[in-house]
Amino acid sequence: MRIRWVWFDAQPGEPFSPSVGSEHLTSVTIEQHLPIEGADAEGMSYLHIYWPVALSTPRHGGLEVSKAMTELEQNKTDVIRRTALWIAGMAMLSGLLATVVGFRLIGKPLQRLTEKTRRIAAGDLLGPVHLRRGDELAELADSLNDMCEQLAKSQDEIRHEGVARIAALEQLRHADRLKTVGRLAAGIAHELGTPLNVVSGRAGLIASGKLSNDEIAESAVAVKAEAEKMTTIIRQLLDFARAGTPHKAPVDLRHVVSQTVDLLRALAEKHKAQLCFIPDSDPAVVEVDAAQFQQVLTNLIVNAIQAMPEGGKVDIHVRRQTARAPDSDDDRQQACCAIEVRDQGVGIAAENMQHLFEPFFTTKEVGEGTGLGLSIAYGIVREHGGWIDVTSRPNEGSCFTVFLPEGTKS
Amino acid sequence: VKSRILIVDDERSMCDLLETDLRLRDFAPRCFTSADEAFEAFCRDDFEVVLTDLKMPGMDGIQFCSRLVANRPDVPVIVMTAFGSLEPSPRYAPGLTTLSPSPLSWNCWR
Repeated sequence: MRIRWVWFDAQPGEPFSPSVGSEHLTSVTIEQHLPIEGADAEGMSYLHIYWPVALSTPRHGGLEVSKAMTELEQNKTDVIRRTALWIAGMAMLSGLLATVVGFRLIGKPLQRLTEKTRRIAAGDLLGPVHLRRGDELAELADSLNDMCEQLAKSQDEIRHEGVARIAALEQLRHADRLKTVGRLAAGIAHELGTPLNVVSGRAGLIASGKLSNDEIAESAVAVKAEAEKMTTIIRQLLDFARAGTPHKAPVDLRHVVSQTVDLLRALAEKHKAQLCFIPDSDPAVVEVDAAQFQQVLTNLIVNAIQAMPEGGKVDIHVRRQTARAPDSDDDRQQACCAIEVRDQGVGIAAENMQHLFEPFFTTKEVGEGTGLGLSIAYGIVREHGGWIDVTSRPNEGSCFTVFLPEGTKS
Repeated sequence: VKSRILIVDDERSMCDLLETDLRLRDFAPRCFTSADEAFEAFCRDDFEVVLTDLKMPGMDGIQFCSRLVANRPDVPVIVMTAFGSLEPSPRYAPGLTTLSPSPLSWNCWR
C-alpha cells in the first residue's frame, strides 16, 4: 500500500500528479472519498482511493491511497479459504457431536429394542426391556413388553387348549376302541352263542337217555357240525387279529388276481355272476404277502357276488396310478398299484358306509356272513401300507379299490 | 292229545334241537325257519304255545309276536333271545308272555 499527497489538477509528469487522469477528479468534494481503478506504466492494476483535504489554497488536493489489485485478490482468497476451513471444521465437530450424542440418545436404546424383537422372533418372550426415559422410544419399549406379555399369555392358553384337545381326542379314541371291542364281544357272543346252545342241548338230550340209537347218532352229527362252525368262526377271528406276520415278497398283482378269479369262478357261476378280469400288459409288482392278498381279493369278490342276488358282472382291474393316501398328513400323490373290484349289485346304504370295515358288521342274512370279511381285508391292506377306497350307488353297484403304494416294493 | 307248539328260529340246527327235545317231552312241535311261513301255519292250524327267536332276518320275534296277538290274543308267546345283541332287550311287546334267555330252562315244560 502506498499513501502520498497529490494535487487533483496536476497533469501527469508534474510533481504530486495523481496516478489516474486529473479529469476523473474534477467532481471530488470534501465529504466523499473516491475509489478509482487504474493501471501504471508496467500494466499492473491498482485501486486508488482519493481523500480530499480542505485547504485555503485555490488548488484542490488530497491523499491518494493506492493498493495493488493482486494484493487485494490474495487477501480475498485468503479470507475465503479461512472461512471454508472454519465451516468444515465446525461441520465435522458438530457431526461428531451429533454422532456421539445420537448414539447415546437413540442408537443404544434402538439397539436394545432391535435385540428384543430378535429374541421375540426366536420365541423368547421373557425379559422385558426397560428404558429409563420418557420419550417415544420408552413408549415403544413398553408396548413391546405388553405385546410379549399378551403373546406369552396366548401361547399358554393355546398350550393348555392343545393338551385338553389331545386328552379329549385320546378319550374319544378310547371310547371308540371300547365300542369296537364291545361290538366284537357281542359279535363273538352271538356267533358262538347259537352253536353252543345247540351243542349243550344235544348233549343234554343224549345224557337224558331217552334217545334211540339213531337219534343219538343224529345228535352227535349235529354236535360235530356246530363244533366245526365254531372252529371256522374262531379261525376267522384269528385271521382278523392276525397273529401271523406277513411274509412279504415282490409279486405281480396280476398273477394273484388271476389265480383268485380262477378259484372263485365256480362259486360265481352258482350265483349267476360273471367274473371279468383282463390283465393289463404292464406288470404291477408290489411287495406283499401273496396269500394274504388272495384272502383280501376273495373277500372282496365274494362280497361283490353276494351283492348281486339276481346275478351280474364283476369287473376286476389291476392298474398303476397315482393317488393320495386318506387320513394322511402327506398331501403328495404317490405311485400306487390299484386293484378295482366293481359289481352291479344292490349298493351300500349311506348309513352303513362308516361301519363297513367294523368287525361283525354285516347286512347279510344270518348265516351268510360273519361280518369279518371286510375288516380282515382292511387290516391286511393297512398292514401293507395301503388303503381301501369305496364308492357305491344304491341299486347300481359298488366299487372297492385297494391301493398299495409302490414304495413298499423292495 | 299232545300240545301243539309252533317253533320259529332262523337257525336250522336250533330248530332241530328244539323239535327233538319237545317231541321227547311229549309235545307236538312244528318248526319253521321263516317267520312268514310260520305265520301262515299259525293261521291255518291251531297251536297252544308259540316259541320264537328274537333276532331273525326279515320279520323279527317282536314283530312276529305282534302279528300273532292281533289274530289270536289267547295264545301265549315265548320269545327266546340269544346273547349277542348290544341293544337292550325289549321288556314289553304286545302279546309277549315271556322273554326267555336261550338256552331255555327245560324244566318249565313239565
